[in-house]
Amino acid sequence: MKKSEELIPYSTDASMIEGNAIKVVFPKTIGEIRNIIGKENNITIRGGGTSLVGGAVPFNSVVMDLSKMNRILNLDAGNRIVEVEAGIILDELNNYLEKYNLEFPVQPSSHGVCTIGGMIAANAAGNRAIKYGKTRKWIIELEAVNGKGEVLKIKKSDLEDFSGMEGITGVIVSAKLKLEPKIKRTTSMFSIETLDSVAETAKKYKDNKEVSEIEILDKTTSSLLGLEEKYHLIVEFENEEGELKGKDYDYIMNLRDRAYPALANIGFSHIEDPEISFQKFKEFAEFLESERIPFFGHLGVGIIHPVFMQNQKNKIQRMFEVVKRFKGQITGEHGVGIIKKEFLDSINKKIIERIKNRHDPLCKMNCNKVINCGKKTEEKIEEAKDDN
Amino acid sequence: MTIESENAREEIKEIVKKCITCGICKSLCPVFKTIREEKVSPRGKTMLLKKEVYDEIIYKCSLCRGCEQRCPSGIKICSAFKKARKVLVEEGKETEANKEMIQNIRTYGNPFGKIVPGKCRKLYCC
Ligand SMILES: Cc1cc2nc3c(=O)[nH]c(=O)nc-3n(C[C@H](O)[C@H](O)[C@H](O)COP(=O)(O)OP(=O)(O)OC[C@H]3O[C@@H](n4cnc5c(N)ncnc54)[C@H](O)[C@@H]3O)c2cc1C
Repeated sequence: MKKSEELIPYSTDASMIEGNAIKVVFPKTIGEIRNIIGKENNITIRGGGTSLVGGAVPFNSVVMDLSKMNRILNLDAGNRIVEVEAGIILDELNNYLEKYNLEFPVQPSSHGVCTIGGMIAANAAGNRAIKYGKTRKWIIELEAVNGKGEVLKIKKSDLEDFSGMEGITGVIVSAKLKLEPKIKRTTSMFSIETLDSVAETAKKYKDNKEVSEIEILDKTTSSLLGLEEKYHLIVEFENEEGELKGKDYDYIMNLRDRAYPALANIGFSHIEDPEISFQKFKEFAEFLESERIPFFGHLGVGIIHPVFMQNQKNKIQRMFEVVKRFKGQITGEHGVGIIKKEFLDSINKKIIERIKNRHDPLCKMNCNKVINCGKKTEEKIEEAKDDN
Repeated sequence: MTIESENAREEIKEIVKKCITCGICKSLCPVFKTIREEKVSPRGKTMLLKKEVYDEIIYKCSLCRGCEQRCPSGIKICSAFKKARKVLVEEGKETEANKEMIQNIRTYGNPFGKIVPGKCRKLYCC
């Protein structure tokens, strides 16, 4: 196989946006990471490659794939703390923790593939966000190498320099994480005719402390998954209250994970993740239906996933306007990547720019992701040389 | 390119075009779990086939169908890899190990070659 062909698998991620890698490297130690950052000027960091916003797509850059840094470094089962390398896959970690009756509770639907590093970088949420929030909440400490090649121990107060930065400040190498006792969960699925009853049913469970997820499937998604053509609410309980247990529970959870791919398979392959207040859900859903936009999502926390065909840019724009009108957020969990840069408000942009400049003034890491660097990397290097 | 390999290429194109590159197939793939490189993952190899890159790397698959079980789009990924191997053989691009294995089956009726009692044979992956 030609070298250029070997790089094809690294040219995209789950966003299906195509870029081009010029090389791929698989560091196994901090020293190797520092070496690569020292030598290369344009690096794209890659974990599981499940980003839906093109975060892991390279553009004429070296792909630094963390998949081979997947060790569990230490487990303090008594204090429920684990230290892992960034390339470990969430399910691998949780399978290991099972024998200690522990788990890392944040669970994106991509749990079988996404890495802890990718989750931290994107500050991923997921199905159980209603109870467990986003990834950052569970980090005690990070070890990272920034764009200047400095090895840093990031304490709780500075986590935002790396968690949620989508790799633009540097590489997350390892993390010390809090864990929870593993719980036997159950679920109930409600088949519902109207949006009013969806909102009413969800409201009933929303403040129940034993509920760990409330997921909505619209009529299109439901019928694609082989359910009745009605709305479906999946409510997960951390006790025996749910009607479906054991294998039946597993079946429903698998079904829920298949929602996006099932829609993508019939052409709705562009997924969005606006976050709106629970009170606005019904109005928002009515808007989506009036535009014939299928949706599903984490209703419990107001993160809805409307899906679009690739040529429906105008519809997406109209949806963003509605989200803004409802004072919601354009992205609730997938991040900004390369496709949502234009929607960052100026205050956030300034804050991000400041943090980026502190850690990666030459813009070596994930250049032009989240914010535009504005200058070509080569120019920045010349500028730095002049400064010295 | 023979008619057979041309037909197989067409069939493969039809199968892999449904891939949405979500990567969920990687979660059960023993080859990816061991080598941990995207290019040997079902998604990686599917991307290569999408771009009509036919290479020995397609042999890096145990045909366990774990990926098919997980693929949310219901793509018959292993079936595409099997067909791709056919193309490779037709086009003379198969691996040396495969050639040797086939020769052994033809000569000795087993993939390992001449069986000498008490002596371990080299194992091949199909
Ligand atoms: C089917 C499907 C379902 C999904 N469901 C959810 C969901 O429920 N909730 C949710 O929040 N997201 C979801 N996602 C999005 C995605 O899975 C998450 O954002 C996930 O956290 C990405 O992890 P990854 O390891 O695949 O990272 P990648 O996709 O490889 O990278 C994501 C970003 O993080 C950066 N990065 C990766 N590793 C590191 C590192 N070690 N150091 C610094 N930067 C790094 C990359 O450069 C990139 O910008 C889903 C995606 C798919 C395909």
